[in-house]
Amino acid sequence: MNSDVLIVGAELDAFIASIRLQELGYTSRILTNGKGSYLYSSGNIKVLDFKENNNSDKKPLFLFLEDLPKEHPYNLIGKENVTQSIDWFFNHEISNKLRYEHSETNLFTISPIGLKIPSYGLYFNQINFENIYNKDVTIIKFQNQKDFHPELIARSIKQYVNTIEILNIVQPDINQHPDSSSLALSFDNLSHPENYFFNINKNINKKTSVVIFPAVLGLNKYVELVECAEKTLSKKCFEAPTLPPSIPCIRLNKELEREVLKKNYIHRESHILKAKIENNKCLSVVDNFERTIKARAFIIANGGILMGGIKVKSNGEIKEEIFDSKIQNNNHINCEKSYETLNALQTSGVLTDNKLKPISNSNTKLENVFFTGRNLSNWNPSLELSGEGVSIASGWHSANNISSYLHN
Amino acid sequence: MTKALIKDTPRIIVIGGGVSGCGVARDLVLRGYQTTLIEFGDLGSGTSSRFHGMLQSGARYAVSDTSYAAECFRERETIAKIVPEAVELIGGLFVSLPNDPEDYPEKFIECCEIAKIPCREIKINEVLNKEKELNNNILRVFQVPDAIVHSWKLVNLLAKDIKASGGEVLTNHQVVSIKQHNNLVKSVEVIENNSVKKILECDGIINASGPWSGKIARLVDQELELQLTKGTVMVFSHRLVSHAINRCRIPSSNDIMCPSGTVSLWGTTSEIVNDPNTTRIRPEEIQELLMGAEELFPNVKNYRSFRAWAGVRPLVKTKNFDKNMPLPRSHSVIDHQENGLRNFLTICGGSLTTHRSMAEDVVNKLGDKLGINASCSTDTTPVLNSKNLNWMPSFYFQKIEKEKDYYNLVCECEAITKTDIEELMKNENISNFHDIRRRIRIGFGPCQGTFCNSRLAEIVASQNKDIDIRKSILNFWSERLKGSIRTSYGDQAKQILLSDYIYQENFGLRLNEENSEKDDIRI
Amino acid sequence: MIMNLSTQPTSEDILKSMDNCTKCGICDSYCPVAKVTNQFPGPKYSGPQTQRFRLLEDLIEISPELCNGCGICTSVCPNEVAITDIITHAKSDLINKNKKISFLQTLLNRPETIGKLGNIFPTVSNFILHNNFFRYLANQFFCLDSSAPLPNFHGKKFKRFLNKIKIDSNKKNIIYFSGCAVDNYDSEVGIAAIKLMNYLGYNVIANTDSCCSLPMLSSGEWKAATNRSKELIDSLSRSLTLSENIISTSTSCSLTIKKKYSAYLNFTDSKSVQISQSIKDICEYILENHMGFLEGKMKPINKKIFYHGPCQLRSHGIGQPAVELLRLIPQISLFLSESDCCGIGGTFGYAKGRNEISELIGKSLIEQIKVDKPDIILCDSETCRWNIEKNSGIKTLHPIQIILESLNI
Repeated sequence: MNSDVLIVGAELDAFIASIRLQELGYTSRILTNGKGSYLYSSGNIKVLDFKENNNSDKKPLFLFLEDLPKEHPYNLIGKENVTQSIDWFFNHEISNKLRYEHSETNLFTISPIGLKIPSYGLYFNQINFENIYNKDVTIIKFQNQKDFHPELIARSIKQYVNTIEILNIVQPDINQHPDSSSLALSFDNLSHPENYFFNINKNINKKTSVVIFPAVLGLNKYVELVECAEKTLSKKCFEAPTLPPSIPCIRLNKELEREVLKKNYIHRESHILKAKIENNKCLSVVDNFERTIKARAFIIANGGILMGGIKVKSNGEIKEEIFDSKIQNNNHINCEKSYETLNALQTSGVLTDNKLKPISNSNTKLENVFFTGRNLSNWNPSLELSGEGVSIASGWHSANNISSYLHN
Repeated sequence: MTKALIKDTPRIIVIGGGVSGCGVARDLVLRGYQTTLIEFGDLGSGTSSRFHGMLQSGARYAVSDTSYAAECFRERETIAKIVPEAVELIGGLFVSLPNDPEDYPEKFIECCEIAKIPCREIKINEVLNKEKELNNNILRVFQVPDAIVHSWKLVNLLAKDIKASGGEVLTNHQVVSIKQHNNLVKSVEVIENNSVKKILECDGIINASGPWSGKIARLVDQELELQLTKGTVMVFSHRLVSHAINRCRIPSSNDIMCPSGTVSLWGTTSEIVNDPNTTRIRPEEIQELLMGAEELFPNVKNYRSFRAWAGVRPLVKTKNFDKNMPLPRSHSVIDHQENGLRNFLTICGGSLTTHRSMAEDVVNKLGDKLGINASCSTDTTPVLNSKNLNWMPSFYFQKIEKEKDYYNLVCECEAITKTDIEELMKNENISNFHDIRRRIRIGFGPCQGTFCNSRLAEIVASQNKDIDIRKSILNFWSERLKGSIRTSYGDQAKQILLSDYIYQENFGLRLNEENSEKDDIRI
Repeated sequence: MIMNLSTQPTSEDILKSMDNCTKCGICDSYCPVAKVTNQFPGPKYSGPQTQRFRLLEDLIEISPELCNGCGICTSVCPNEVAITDIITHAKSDLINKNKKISFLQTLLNRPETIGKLGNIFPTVSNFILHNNFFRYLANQFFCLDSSAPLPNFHGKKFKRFLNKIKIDSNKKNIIYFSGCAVDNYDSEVGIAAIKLMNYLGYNVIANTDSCCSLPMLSSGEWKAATNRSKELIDSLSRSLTLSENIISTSTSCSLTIKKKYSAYLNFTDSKSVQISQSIKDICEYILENHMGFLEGKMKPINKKIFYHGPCQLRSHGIGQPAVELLRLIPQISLFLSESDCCGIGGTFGYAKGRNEISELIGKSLIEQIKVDKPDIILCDSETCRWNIEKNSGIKTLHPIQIILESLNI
């Protein structure tokens, strides 16, 4: 089993790195024990919050990068690299497949409770400030659907719209669970979706110009379904987020995996426990079956504390266990105040240099190992709303660095 | 709104809606008094709900306080009889470890016999077969009839009984001042939900406000010396043991692992504090608890603990208390007549297990003072509406399995459905998330409100158009986080970050210093 | 509890892993059964969620029955909850406590016995097995679904082939655990395996006439499985004196021996551990040891090939070694299945009423096949092959059969 690069973890950064490495001519192998944390996202690609909540502000997001601390991943990676990586992602074939309309940058989406979440590129045809402003809106909910909250959405968008109505309708197949995944599949299985939409049209207020569906309009046939809906209803149709795991991200996951599997491999249920190191170089990693898997370079993209890439011990100590890397600041999270402990959990990560190479607790630097995504330190994905941006940028950047390393 | 005082049925106000206060109010009502119970927050939200939930057999105190132990056992039997719905009869084990005093077990057997507590030594193999988590270096094991009690259920059933028998229960009412005249308390001024003020006239007051008893007593210029001890309990995420496991030694900290519903509670620490509102947990306390638990359960640091809470126990410093001895555990009825008040009594100390006999004693005393000759019937009268079956923690789950009601789940951890919530909201006319949570256990499971919070919000929002739903969601999450952040290691660290992600992602809620739950304010 | 991953997880580790669950719901999203029927509440519910209640008292529950054991939930769980195994434990508990196991399941749990009986007169057995009237009777009386994919008895074909091969003392030995499918129904796969390993320079010592007991383990009949599995471990252990490597052409059998004996039956003795670490899937073994040798020796195949990785393959944690080998074939026209599960779930889809669910699960796979229009379909697991061939109408083989073809053997 030979690949140039081993990637531990299946986060968004892992897939980005693999796809970028393939472009640069290197094969990779993703070793993961489960799916990645981007499935928890509502489907927006968030790069960075705005300084002020000013909905008419259309300045590019990156004007504010310098305001971040210099150890922030964006600043380690460099503004130019970050910009390039995000552009690359949005112009990739994968993005084009999932995009229904051409989207602009710097739009706000609406979260169910009203905070305008800025996103770079309205990625998955979700409702945003612009497409509902002053409109008459109907929110659709399927009977018994428990992970979609139209009342909460209605309350948060009330101030931006003209009128709102909530409509309860029967799901496409009553023999299925009313949960996101089953609903999405049952939409895919509709042999004549136009009939379904035609039937619900009867109950929709004539005044409505925008219909908001829960984000379950198909797993595979999303674009066709939205097109069909808009044609049949003669109204603009958008999706609003459900509780995770979100269908838009499952769609993204499918495209990413398909792309990676064209030439590379994914090992599921692979639990990597330790690494074999010699002369500041990692030679291989060892899994829980004591299998050794070799490669020339390694990317550790296993999701930080949230996904188990970094462990928190019962005494509050934080540890990265494969390479025993140095953790930023005090590698203890137990603070007096609950709020401070939460902040420590959100921001703790591995210390790296500008190339995203980690520093170990014995102060050695490994030349062929790179950390990405939530494993990195000095950023707070919650407060900054930068989760996907850092993933994409760090995945892309580590791939580029590996390419230079292997080339030499 | 004041009621005219009727000579034959004195009106008594009970201050404090914990288990003691509810017990007192019920006793009063059954004896024919006009009774009003006043509680600052929600019933049981003070000390009653913050312990390890044991309805103890008394064996714990057999050696150190044998008469108290005997009372505990009698009460343990009584409570199980009168309110079986709140009790689960699981039994308890007292376990001797190699570093425990060697002579204690013999004393223990002797004293249990004196206190008439059934106690039986059992073989180590038998125990280790059943309780797989226990350290296999245990020396001796004794079985006693400990039980567990669901304190939220208990206070709510008592309150229902009080109301059904003609009493009044006022929650979310704060006592502002107490008027006295001629050495008699005359009326109590309360403020409801920080807005509406009321004056309630009375013929007597029973102060059953637990660790706040001193504060209340000071409203009538009475000094009450209390020893306030904060104790912290850790919650482990599944039922690790099938009995309550106790250390067989003089009662101290880190002594008890008690199953409670679907979880296991380990506790407690013991720290003297000055403020009854102290619920802040220090990280060192968690480490102390883990070290103590490790002696009984060697693998405890690998278990998932998803929450910790702290409560303050009041013990009365009797007049000539010896600083070197532990304070007596039995309760004190304090008649403030000696200090000039003729119709003000305080009942304090004791424990949840003895709340009924505490109530009996203080109401007897009140009767003496008022010349009323009604006798106590709380030990033989079953609590109204208590089902005859014992508490079945899997009750909600079995219901769902039977009806295949999978669609309806709101709280997946505790198997609570939309129908359960809607029924509760209708029957008790509540829409405050915390009130709902306490009665139906939403958010009590390992996920600590990660998903159920928003589902609950959707239900409440569709019924109550005026509520500030964003604030409710934030408060619920913040309150859950306050307890779970204390044990944020291992899987719980992942859970908290997942919660955080969902709240940020779907609701745009980001916790910061200003909007987080203050550690020292109890909900 | 943080599962002890540096050794084989035992029953206790499996059940305690319920604590790792953060309720994220990713398992429910990928469960093929929950997606097609509302009778199954989903792996999160049946697994870690209910497990907390199972500790309280004996529960009356039915949800574990509809789990088809595909293991996809465990492979997508980011928190290392052994979801499928928790549900299978519950199935076993239910059988031990009160539920009786169905007659059909009892039969299906003994495939090597059915095989032996059927192979006495294979022609007759095949006639009966594929006769509509018999299938109708079987449906009515044994609840064997008329649509369930049944294989053909191959008589003693594999045994006869084994008797003809000669031992070459210059060659290394390798043990081949054939499994009941190869022994009785799928002899070509066994023959292909032996030919391929001979080509690679091995004497193949076949360990035949044993069942790995997976059907018993998946359906919860663990008492019966224990003795059989012990015997198999002993037998394989004796074989280890001849070679330290064991290969298998069934990803289900090799997974059972690798992981399930420890997880369900608590076989933690050194013999069992050694066997579990020695057995490999044939493609896994060839990839690790002979990839260099094969590179350049494979000839192009002029067929459109569609590969479906069976669901248990994920649980091996080795990726898709068959695909890596197939990609050595120059200019190969290879289509990869995008479905996680073909639906059959081992013996799950054979019962009346369950087959419907299997077909619904397999629908997207069949649709993809219709679009891609392959000439040959490849899959490393026998019941999956029979199921896919029946529903697609296209010949379905084991990957090594195409590899042999490409090597002109």
